[in-house]
Amino acid sequence: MDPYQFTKMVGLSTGEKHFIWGGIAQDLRSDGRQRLHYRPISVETGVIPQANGSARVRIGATDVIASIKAELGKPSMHQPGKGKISIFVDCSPTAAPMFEGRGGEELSTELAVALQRCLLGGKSGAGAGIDLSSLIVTEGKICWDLYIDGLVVSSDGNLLDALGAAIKAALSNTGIPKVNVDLGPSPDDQPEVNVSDEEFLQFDTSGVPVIVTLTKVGRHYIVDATSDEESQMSSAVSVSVNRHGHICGLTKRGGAGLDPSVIMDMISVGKHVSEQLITVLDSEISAAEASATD
Amino acid sequence: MAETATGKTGMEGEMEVDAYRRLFPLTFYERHLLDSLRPDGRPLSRSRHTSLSLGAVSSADGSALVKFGDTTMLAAIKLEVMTPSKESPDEGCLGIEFHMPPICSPIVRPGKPAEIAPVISKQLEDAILSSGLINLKELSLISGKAAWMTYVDIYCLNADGSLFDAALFAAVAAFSHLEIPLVSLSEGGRVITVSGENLDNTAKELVNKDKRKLTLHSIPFSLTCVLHKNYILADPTAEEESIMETLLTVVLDSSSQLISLYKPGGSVLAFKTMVQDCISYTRKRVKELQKILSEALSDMEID
Amino acid sequence: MMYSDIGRLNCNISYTTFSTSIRGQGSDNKEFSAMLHKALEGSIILESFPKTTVDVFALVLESGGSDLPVIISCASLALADAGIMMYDIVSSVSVTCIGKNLIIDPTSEEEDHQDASFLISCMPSRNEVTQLTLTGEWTTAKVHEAMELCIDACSKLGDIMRSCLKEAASTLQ
Repeated sequence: MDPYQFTKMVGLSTGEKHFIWGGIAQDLRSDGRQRLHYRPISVETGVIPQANGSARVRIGATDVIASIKAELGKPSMHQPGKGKISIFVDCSPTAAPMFEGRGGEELSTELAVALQRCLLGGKSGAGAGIDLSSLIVTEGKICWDLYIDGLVVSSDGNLLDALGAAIKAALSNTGIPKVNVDLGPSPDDQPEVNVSDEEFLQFDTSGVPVIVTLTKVGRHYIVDATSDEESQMSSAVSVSVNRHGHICGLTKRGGAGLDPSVIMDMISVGKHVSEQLITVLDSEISAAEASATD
Repeated sequence: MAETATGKTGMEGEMEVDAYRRLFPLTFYERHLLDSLRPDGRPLSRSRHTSLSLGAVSSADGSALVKFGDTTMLAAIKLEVMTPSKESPDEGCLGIEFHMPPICSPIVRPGKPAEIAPVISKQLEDAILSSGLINLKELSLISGKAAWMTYVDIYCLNADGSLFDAALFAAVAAFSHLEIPLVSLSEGGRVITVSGENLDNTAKELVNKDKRKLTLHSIPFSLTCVLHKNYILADPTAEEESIMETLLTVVLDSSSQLISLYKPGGSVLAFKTMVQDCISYTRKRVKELQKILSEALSDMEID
Repeated sequence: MMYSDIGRLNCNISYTTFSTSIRGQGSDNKEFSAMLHKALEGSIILESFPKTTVDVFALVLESGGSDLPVIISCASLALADAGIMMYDIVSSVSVTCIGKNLIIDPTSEEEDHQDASFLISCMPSRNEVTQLTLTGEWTTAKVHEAMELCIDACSKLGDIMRSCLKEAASTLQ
């Protein structure tokens, strides 16, 4: 049994709490990091051969897998020129004791909603990280439906950032088969579809944002909090930022109130951190892709 | 149990009224009944103050908000175009649903719905269909092609007894407020609804220009009474319903003909005279409700 | 249920079948319920009622856009009416961005065409934000603008809510 399993169940002692709080106040956290430093990130792509794209991201002891499945579907009536994306998250009961039974359900929905908010943009599709119009095959008739599944294998805090990174990596690993469509003579005919199993279209992931969660502990905020640190949070703000430095989604988690100026400050810090994260992630993803093709 | 606990212990003198009411509800009520008066000040045969407002939901085609004392019902009707079934090509369809959301009562919780809701739903459907309130043929637009699917949804916003009576009145009032939307035929032979704004610039023929209101035949009204010993309490509150368990509901139409009569068990066996009394109370109540409904309708016409 | 030395808050939102233009489309209320929970959680003094659950049930009778902010403000008023101890009432406002324009309190039609949205719930007299969500692409300047607009609207709404509570209390006496 994991020696920390027990602490996770009963919570931290007063001494441990003080240690975490003190460390954060002095900009030297329990694992030796500074407040705005991430744990080492490792990316592995193509981990699930059946999926169109997949990736596994590990940040410290947090371990998540994202897989992408593309299926042909029919575009919705309101948006005939766009494909559809759905995001699901599953928290495996083995990832943390609190996920046992139905415990992970609420968190799963919360994470899925936050990911949708960060990746899919506004209702009109503006500002979406994934260009939905690139998923269209024949306008109003056929489009690709992307099913993005996130699986939390092991949880040690900062799940949202990890899932965001895993989805980004999985998307860049995704090849969508080329489709030839034979439209029938009359518009009511069911079009004939040929899905090629040799030619694949690469997915453009340059617009996919990264997610940075800032967790407020005491008067300071930290990035990439571990579960121990998360247990001490008063509130957290997840900001998703794309390559242009634009904010693509924001979710406040945790109940305690925050001053508006603090939120603005957190957003600008998040933006700053995201620049480094994008660079790190990009190089990790291309390294992973290179090793996968070898 | 309450019988044995009657104030013989000498407790009653010292106890506050509220506490007494909670501890010995039945004796509390019986003492009131001796004086032919109920705790809320009503004589036994009087119903609570009743109010009605029409058109409470603007997004629906017809709606009504009804209050019997604290019991509050909101009924709304929505019409949708459908293809009629092969068996009855020139008839529309009626779907009646009664809902008890968690806000209406402490006993209802999400995932633990009220047991009585489907029962009332069925009773409402029976009363409305068997009274012949609606002629389903009137809901037809084009024989065999298009007809109205009529959804009647009644929400209980506050449950304080006599739910069926209030729900039925709300449904009936919503029907009399109902205005059928205009529809026209598109080129492809499909029926589309025409909203008020683009009415003037549609050259297309309107299918139902002069049939905007339903003719309501014999309107059903009801009254629920609680029976206890020889007493009959009209329009009971939730408290009265829970203490004295024998209920009797009479449904009459506007010309005082009996549509249905429910007496779902209970410890009191109703004698002929009691049932007759209930019916005569209901007759009086029907007049009251008819007046409230026609006043609300004429108020609306003035506006 | 497990023992808890602070109170619990339970939120549930449901829609009536006639609330939306197409019957029975009042969906995503699980997500809304979670968001309502987060917006209110920070305002309630949960320590004041240990071992107790407060249920907040919302029923949307008619949906015409900006549903969630209205539900949040309404629920907060109901909590105050119930005499639940709170730090402050929560008022909530949303803004929709269409093109370059910010539109406050959008209708359903405006929401359907939105490029980006911004929702804020705050406790006006403490100047604290309890819930904030944002979708679509925003520059920092725009976020700033929306935030100021919303905070101002929230404090105005808070005043109205406060006077409404005072009125209700005075008619009771």
